[in-house]
Amino acid sequence: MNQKTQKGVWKRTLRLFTNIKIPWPLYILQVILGVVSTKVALLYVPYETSLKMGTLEDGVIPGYLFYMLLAVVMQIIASVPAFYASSIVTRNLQNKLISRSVHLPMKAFEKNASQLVSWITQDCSYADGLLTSIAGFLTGLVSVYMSMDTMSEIDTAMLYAVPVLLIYIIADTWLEGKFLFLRERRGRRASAELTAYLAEHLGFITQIKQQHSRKEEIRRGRQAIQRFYRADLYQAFLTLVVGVIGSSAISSFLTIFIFVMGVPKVNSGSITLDELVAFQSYILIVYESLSSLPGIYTSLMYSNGQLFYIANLMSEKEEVYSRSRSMDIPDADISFEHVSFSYEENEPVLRDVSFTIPKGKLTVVAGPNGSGKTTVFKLLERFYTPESGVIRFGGIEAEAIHLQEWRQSIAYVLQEPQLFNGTVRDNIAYGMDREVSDEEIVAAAKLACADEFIRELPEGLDFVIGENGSRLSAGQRQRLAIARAVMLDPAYLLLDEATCNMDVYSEKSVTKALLRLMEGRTTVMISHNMEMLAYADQVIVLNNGVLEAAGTRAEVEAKSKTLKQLIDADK
Amino acid sequence: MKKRKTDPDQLKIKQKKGTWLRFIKLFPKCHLPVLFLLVYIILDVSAVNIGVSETDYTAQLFAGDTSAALVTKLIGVILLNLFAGSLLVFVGAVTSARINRNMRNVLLDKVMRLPMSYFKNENPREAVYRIVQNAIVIDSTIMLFLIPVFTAGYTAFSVFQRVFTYDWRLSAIMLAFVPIQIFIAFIFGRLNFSVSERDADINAGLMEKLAEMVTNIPLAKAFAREKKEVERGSELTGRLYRLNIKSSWLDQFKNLSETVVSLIQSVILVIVGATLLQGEEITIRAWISFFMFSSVFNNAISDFMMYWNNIKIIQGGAARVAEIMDAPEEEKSGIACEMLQGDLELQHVRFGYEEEKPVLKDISCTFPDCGVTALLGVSGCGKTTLVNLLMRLYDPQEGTIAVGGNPVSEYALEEYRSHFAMVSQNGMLFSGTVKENVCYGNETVTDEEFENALKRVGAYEFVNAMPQGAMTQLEEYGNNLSGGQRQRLCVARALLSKAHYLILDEPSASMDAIATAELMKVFKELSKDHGIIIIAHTAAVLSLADRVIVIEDGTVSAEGKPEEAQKTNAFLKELAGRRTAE
Repeated sequence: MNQKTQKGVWKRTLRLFTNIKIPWPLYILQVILGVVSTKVALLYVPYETSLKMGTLEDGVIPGYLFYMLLAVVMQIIASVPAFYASSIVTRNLQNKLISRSVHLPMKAFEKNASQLVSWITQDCSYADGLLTSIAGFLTGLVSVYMSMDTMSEIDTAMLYAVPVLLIYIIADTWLEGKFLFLRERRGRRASAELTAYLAEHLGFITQIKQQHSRKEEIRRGRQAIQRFYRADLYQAFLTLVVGVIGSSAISSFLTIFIFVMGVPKVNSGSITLDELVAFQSYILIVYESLSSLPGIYTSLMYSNGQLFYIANLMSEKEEVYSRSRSMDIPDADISFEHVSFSYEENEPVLRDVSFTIPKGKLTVVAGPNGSGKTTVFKLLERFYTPESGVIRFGGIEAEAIHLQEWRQSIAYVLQEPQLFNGTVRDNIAYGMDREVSDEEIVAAAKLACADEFIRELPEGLDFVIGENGSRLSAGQRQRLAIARAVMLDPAYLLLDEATCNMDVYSEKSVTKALLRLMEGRTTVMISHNMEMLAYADQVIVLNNGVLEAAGTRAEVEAKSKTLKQLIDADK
Repeated sequence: MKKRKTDPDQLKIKQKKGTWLRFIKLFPKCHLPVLFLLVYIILDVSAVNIGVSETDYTAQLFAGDTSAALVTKLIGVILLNLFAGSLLVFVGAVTSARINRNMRNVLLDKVMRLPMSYFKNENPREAVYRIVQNAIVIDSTIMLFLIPVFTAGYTAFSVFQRVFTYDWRLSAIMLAFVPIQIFIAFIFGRLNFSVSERDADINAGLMEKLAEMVTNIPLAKAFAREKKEVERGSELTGRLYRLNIKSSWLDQFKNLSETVVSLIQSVILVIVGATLLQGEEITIRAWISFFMFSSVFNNAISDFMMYWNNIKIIQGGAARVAEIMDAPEEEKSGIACEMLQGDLELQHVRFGYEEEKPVLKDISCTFPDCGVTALLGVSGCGKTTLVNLLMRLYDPQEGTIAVGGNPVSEYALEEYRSHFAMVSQNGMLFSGTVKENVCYGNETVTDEEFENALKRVGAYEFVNAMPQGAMTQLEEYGNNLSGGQRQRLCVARALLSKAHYLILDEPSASMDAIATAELMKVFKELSKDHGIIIIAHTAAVLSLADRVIVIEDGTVSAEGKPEEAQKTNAFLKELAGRRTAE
């Protein structure tokens, strides 16, 4: 990674903290309690030394016990604001991240979707590390000053160890920070990759068995596991390097330094052995305080590794919901004017498409696979914006209308319905702003021909349908999705192959139900079922991203070769 | 008479013990890295001895021996200790990584061999969690329990031995506190465990909800429910927060009580030791050593208890891993069947995912060796289930399925399944190139065969039009393709598999009519020497089918030539009616 992007990463990570509310008083309290703890530790040293060296004068034993107790109590008290602060920051960041993901444009969401879960459920908890280390820095400064003051009473020459120690710590921190950053990022990435790989593949266990591809799956799975293992080894190696030169080595080097410098002084009589022992205890306190100073740097690096992706996501732009106009206007025609769109650069999905969807009428969009039908729907939902051209609502540009209101006035029934793991009732009532009575739900279910199968479910409306509705059949899922659309009572309906997964009985009645629902509403329908053309007020034929024809069925049939082919093939 | 009554509590204990026994029996199956473990243990023991020597030399120095010889020795030992410590951590990390990798491989293998009926109780995605998370349970048992407990015990023993040489009374006091320490740790271990186990359950539940919420964000957008979802999210994170705070307080409480115990211990050690010292019954050097060693000893004992308590954290994971490892695998051996041909004959087959609710009540029918058979019925009638039985993903509860003169259950499973290729409704594609996806499961496919397969299913054009052609990366689940495109790639894959029986589950569901018609032509041609089963709920396949089987209410309501069956079967009439009404 070059210098510039690294800086960008830092900035982004830091900006995370301006986005969330931080309990500053708790961090200030941490500093104060930290300083008090150091003071207690310093007062404890003389008693401990005397006892250790067997110099048992009056008051040594009670003093020793008193300060020992005090030190432990302080440690416990000091941890209280720390865990409160950490939990609060985690929660606040989680909330922010959830809100951010919910409001992301589709494109950005889809890019991050598979890892979002682990960011929210796991990585958010690392966010407070940096803040805690700022508190640690302030505590450290005061503590170092206090300790050096005490130590200067024993010997000033050995105090030169302190600046050397500081330089070593800084150099070491810098190096360790680099390692940690690499280690953490690689570790997280490997773990997220393995989880994503297995989730995708094991979700297909039925198909794996059907295709007797077990061996292939095991081979690939093992590769993914091996990649994870290599990341582990890489981490182990970095740990070794850090262990030999890093912070855990410092206290050993420090002890050696004290003995090498101090023992000759004891032998020459300039300090006593007791003082040397006390000095060793003091310098360990100094070391602890000193090492919290560059901790800011370390934890920035560290949390960088962990928060890197979260920070990235946070810097994505949100969808702008509030626009200049309300949709509080009479229904109008929606028109596409010279609309072009592509998901990937240089792969246009729609090319200069213009047509009008008349209000209150049924428009059927026909065309072979990959012709851009579903993309038209996604643009109508305003999940994406056209690259060029405009979509108008009446005379107004659609982009000027509040997004929330726009989407609320449209119900979208997809080819593969999206349901969530909840009760039938919750799924049907999803999208309603108010409490919904059972009667209303049953009425909606009836209209969508779903009431019969719902009644036969073990718990009726309270039946939990499983992840993505897995406990229901495809047809049942679709009917549930239609009931949900019925419930919304929208002005505009988008039906994307809504009846395609149904058997003949349900399809007949659902088609009837849909026709009832469509009455008086503006409906756009994608259908492979050419008999729907009979009901269409307007037919639009797309082929390979280009509008081939638009008009009444008779007009289009005369003009469009593609439509003819489609009709012939359906016979 | 009384003897026969089983005490429920006793039963529980037995089950618990059973878990551990099952778990321990797992060890030989885990491919443990024995050499690495051995090196680790040797290093571990050496590190303990070096540590004891370091303390011993330091005590000598503090007792007044300030000779250059001692200081040199001391420095050497400190450096050695540092080096041994780092090496120990490194070897430990490598050993853990190896244990985890091996265990994950073992679990992956196992999951793949489980029969489908295992997953009726458990979502396959749960298995993911097991492989990633619970796989480390073996590593935890060895590296966080067995070895550390041994290390702590060994350290305590070495220190005790050393102190005993100074004065037996000192070592006696050290020893006297061990039961008290163990008792306290035991009480808190239990308390902590029961609370944290419950909390962990709640935590997992909340996390799961949070995860589902995030996955369903596109739905929330389509229904303009952003505000509601954010509210729901913050309710969940709020509950997680309260749970966090609660367990932090519990930790602090535990800390405090442990401190009180060690404080009392210090008081007694100091008072007894000081008395002996003042009575000149021990030397200054013995006192200094004792003072330093007693804290080493205490740490070792509390480490011992801490690691001992780890076992409870491991327990849950161990039970789950043991359960999955013990689950019976699919029966694999059987009659070899390199070639498999013949009619698939079902007789009085009964099957339900739940014993009491049969989906298929009494199915008798024949799927011919060659030709197109249409399997029709309303959605949910059991068409897909029937096909799953043919492929032996499940076994019928009653009745038999036979082919080539033998019941299918007698064939070697893997080989038997290799004669079937299935194209399911939600075609299985995943991240990887188009070619990898299509050639999935057949490493020997040539470029020519690959291209031919694409051409036959009408996928050649759109694949070539992709940025890198067949080398284009597909997104997760093939999300960058349309439904029809996905399905066509899946059909191409089935063609390449060289299976004799091709099963197509709703092949036209997400394809337009033109594409479907083209594909049907391919099937028709293939049916000359393949048995093709098309699951459908529309009449579109009838013109193509040589034979039709209709499933209604768990039984076969019609079987035979389409024209004939259509005359008598109400369901087929209904289907046909729809066509003519057009």
